[in-house]
This record gives sequence, C-alpha cells and structure tokens, in this order.
Amino acid sequence: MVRLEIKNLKFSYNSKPVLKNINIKVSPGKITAVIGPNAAGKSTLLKCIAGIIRPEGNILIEGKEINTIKKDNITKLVSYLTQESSARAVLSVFEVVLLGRLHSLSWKVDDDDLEVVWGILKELGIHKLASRHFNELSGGQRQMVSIAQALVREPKILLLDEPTNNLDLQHQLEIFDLIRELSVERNITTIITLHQLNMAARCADELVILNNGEVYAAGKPESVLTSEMVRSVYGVNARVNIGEDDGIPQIIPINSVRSKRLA
Amino acid sequence: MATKIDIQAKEIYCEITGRKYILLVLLAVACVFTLIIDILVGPAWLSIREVFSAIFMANSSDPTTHVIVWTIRLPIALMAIVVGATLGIAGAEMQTILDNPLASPYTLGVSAGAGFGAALALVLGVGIVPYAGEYLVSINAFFFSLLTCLLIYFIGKARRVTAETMILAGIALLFLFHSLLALLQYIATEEALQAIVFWLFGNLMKTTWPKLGIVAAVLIIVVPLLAKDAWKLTALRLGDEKAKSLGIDVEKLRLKAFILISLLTAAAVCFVGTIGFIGLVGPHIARMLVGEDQRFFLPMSALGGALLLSAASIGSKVIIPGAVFPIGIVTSLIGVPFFFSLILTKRRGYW
Repeated sequence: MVRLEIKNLKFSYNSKPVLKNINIKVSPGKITAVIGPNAAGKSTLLKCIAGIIRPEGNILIEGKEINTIKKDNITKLVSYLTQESSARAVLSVFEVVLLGRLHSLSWKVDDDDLEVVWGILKELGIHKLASRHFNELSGGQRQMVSIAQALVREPKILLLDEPTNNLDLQHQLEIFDLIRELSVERNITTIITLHQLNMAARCADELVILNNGEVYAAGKPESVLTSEMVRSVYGVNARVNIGEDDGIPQIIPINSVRSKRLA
Repeated sequence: MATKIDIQAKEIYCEITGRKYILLVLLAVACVFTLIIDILVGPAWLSIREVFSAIFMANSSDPTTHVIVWTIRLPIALMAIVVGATLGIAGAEMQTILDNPLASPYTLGVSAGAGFGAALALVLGVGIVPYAGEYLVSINAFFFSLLTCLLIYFIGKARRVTAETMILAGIALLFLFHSLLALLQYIATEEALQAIVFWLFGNLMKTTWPKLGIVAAVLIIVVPLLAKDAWKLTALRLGDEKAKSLGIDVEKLRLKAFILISLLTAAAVCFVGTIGFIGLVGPHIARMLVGEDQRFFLPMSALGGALLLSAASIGSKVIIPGAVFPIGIVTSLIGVPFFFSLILTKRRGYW
C-alpha cells in the first residue's frame, strides 16, 4: 500500500526552480530520510507535502489528491515539524505541546487532549518540564518539545525537518528510536530531512537523495549510499564501509573535491 | 474510573491554569476598587455612603451629589475602565500579530492619525461627516485612526503581509501625521491651538453616557470575535511557519485581527484623545503575570489596561487638589514606576 505518492512535483521561488519533477512513493510504517546538500530543496519538499506551499504536480495521500482534501483534514493527517520555531512565546511547555492539537481545541480544553499531551510528554521523558516556560529551555529541550508538539497530533504522515538539530548524540539516538517505534506502532509514514548521512543510514528504511531539486537516487541505504554518490552530490571524496554485523553502510569522508583541486 | 495518567494530566493542567485564574480575579477586584475610589475622588470628595445612595437610592439622595455622581463621576470612572481595557486589548493583539513588543496604537501612529483628524476638525472645521456638531472632532479622529490602520495594512500588503513591513509602515505614518499635525498647529489660531493641545493631552472630562456607550459597545462586539480565535492567536506566537503547519491561514488571521484592533483603537482614542502608555504596557503586565495563552492573556491585558487608566484617573484628580489634570499626562507618571518595578522584580525574559 502506498500512503503518500508524489508525482511530477515542481516548485519555483520567484521563478527560480527549486524542485524539478520529483517522483516519490512512501509506504506506511516506514521512515524515509531525504538527504542532500544545502539548498537541494529538502525543506521545500516537506513544505509542499504539508500544504504550506502550493507546487505544480500531484501529491496523493492515500490515493487522494491533496488539493481536493479540506485544509482541516490535511492538518489532521499531516504533522510537520519546522526547522526553526520562535522561542519568544511566553508559554509553558504543556501549553506549547497542547497547541499541537489546535484542530480539536476549544475554550475549555477536553480531558482527551490533556491526556494525549501528558502521554507524549512522558513518552519523551520531558514531563518534568511541563510547567516550565518554553523560552527558558535550552535549544535541545526546545527541540524535544517541538517534537512532542508534532507527535501529539497523532498524524498519519509525520514530516520532520532536521529533527535532531541541537540535540546531543544520546538524544539523537533516543529520538530516532522513538520515531521508529511510533512509526511501526501507529503505522505512521515518516519523512525526515537530515544532514548526517550515517545517521540517515542507521535510522531510515529508505533514502531519497535530492540534488539541485531533483531526485538523484532513491532506495535502501545500502544501495544508495555509495562513494560515487557522495562525490557527485556532495563533492566529497569518501570511503563507504559496510557494517559487518548489521550491513549498514557507513561513510567516512576523506576530503572535498574542491580542496583537492586547490591543492 | 479515571486512569493514573488521566489524573496527572489534569493535575498539571490545573496547576498551570489555576494560578492564572487567581491573578485574573485579583486584578478584576483591583479594578473594582479603583473604580469606586475614582467615583469618590474629585474637586468635591464624596463618601461611600453618599455615592451608594446616589446610585442605588435615587429618591433619598442629595440632588447635588446625585448630579455629580450620575453626570460626571460615574461615566468618567467607567470610561477610564472601558478605554483602558480597549487599549490594553488593542495593544496586546497588535503585539501578537506583529510579533513585536513595541507595537501599540500609539507607536504605530494610529493615535497620531486620530490626533491629526481631530486637529483638522478643530482648526479648519473640516469634517468627514458634515453637520456632526458635537461629534465632529470624534468622528474625524475615528476615521483618521481607521485610515491609518488601513494604510498600515495596505502598505504591508504591497509586499506580503509580514510583521516587519507593517511596523515600518506604522512608524513612518507616525512621523507623517506628526508633521502634518505640526503644520496645522503652525497655522492654527491661538484658540484652536489650545484646543488641539488639550485634545492631544488626552482626557476623560468630556465623557458622556452616549460616548461611553459607543466605546463599550465596540468593546463588547469585538472581544468575542477575538476570543473565538484565541488558540490560533496563541499559536501565531510560535512563528508564522509553525502556525501555518498547524493549519492556520496566517495572513487571513492577521487581517481579521488587524481590522478588529483598528476598530478598538479608533473607538478608544476618538473620544479621549491621545493616551499613549496603556496599549503598550497593559499587555506587558499581562504577559508577565499569565503568559501568552490568549484565553488568559486577552482578559488580563484588558484588566491591566483598565487598572492603569483607572488609577491614572484617580491620580489626575489628586495631584493638585481641586484641579483635574489631563489624564494622558498622568498615565505615564503612574504607569512607568509600576512597570519598572515589574521588570526589575521578574527574572524571566519576556521578549
């Protein structure tokens, strides 16, 4: 079954093409990592799927064209964690996460909503921060709260733009484990953009490599992450080791193609 | 039976909101307190019993007291509360939708626009609506403050409706109207000049029941419309992008809120003139006390503004016994020390 299908997607900012003819299919319960150099169009792709910007081409969610789905319903289906969030709001962590359930909030907050919020806070281990102010937290803590806010909507499609920004190694791994667990348990389609290739190889079922607004390659990490890809997409000479016990490819960068040229 | 997680969730939520409810009640009580004192204080000091009997037992009260209370004190005291609340809310929502702590009806030139409109009527006798008589100045002020808001919006819209362009447009208009106002003052007769200066000071003394009714009506109509979007406005504080990802049509929300704010501001300033400080500081007090969950932030900004203006109204009558100072002069004198004391005693960052 295909949860999300993207066909011939095109998008331009001020007549400068950012995405050119993207075709992707994603199944439920799977994590897809979108990787690629800066300005490859990763975030733009997520924004298109989240319905924030309107591209040309087709985005189908469970076979239904996204333009025909009501905006409220898209919001219920798709949850999008933005790369940056303003830290200036004077709100408690609990309130920030509660806002994730905006579609069901009324003046008096339902017990159901409170419960879901508290459940996620506990699951992420940040329930002790609940009454702290969001703007007093460290960058990493704020990121955890934002992730909680994305999860609290119980979406079918979860879009995470650089979810491990500002997080230390332990938290990065914990977040990925949690995302994996939730994706499988709740049958969520997860799409993540990432910069760290090794982390992507470790946590994603499928990789989509974007370069200059085009899909350079897509598939399982072991088939996509090659030294040739790293050279032509990132301009970096690298060695790729395959893990002996888990078969996960690992990229060891050597030097920039450019620096070699300079030398 | 409720599960454990259920109980914990409610507990934490009640802990967060409970304190805010208490603060709301406290500030509301404080407002009632200042309202009562405001009625008692004036060139002729009244006792609580006199006021009480004048209000509730019209037949048995002294006729002079009755007149003082009903035609002067009560409308003015209530006007202070209503205008304070209106400016407080207008400032709060301006700061929210423009994502800027300096936004207020005064700093964005809306008051300056109103002042220019009033001066136009006072100097040239030119009104937007002919034969408006007593209301000529107010109607002019009302329309010019709306005009300022419209200009801010359309200049902002010319380059997408972002907070920055709207703020820049507002500040530019502030300067424009100030210089136009100066021009009018330059050519005005001495009499008209005095009237302009007096209008610009801001004052409640010309309050009548119909004027109070108009401002109160605008407040009562607009507040529920803003309250309806309380959660969306709260979400807007997380940034445009995040708000959009939560399914909010950010530009539409901003436009809607801006129209409502414009009405509030225009209604407040058209009868009482330029009162600068309330719309800026009322929301800051609210933010420090209850944060930015709009369900609390909105009423708290209203109460903060009302309390400040009501206290200023008392202050304007006691500084020199027997005389009434223009309230616009007093608001900052009373508000600034209060505001500084809040800033200095709170450690948290609020912007």
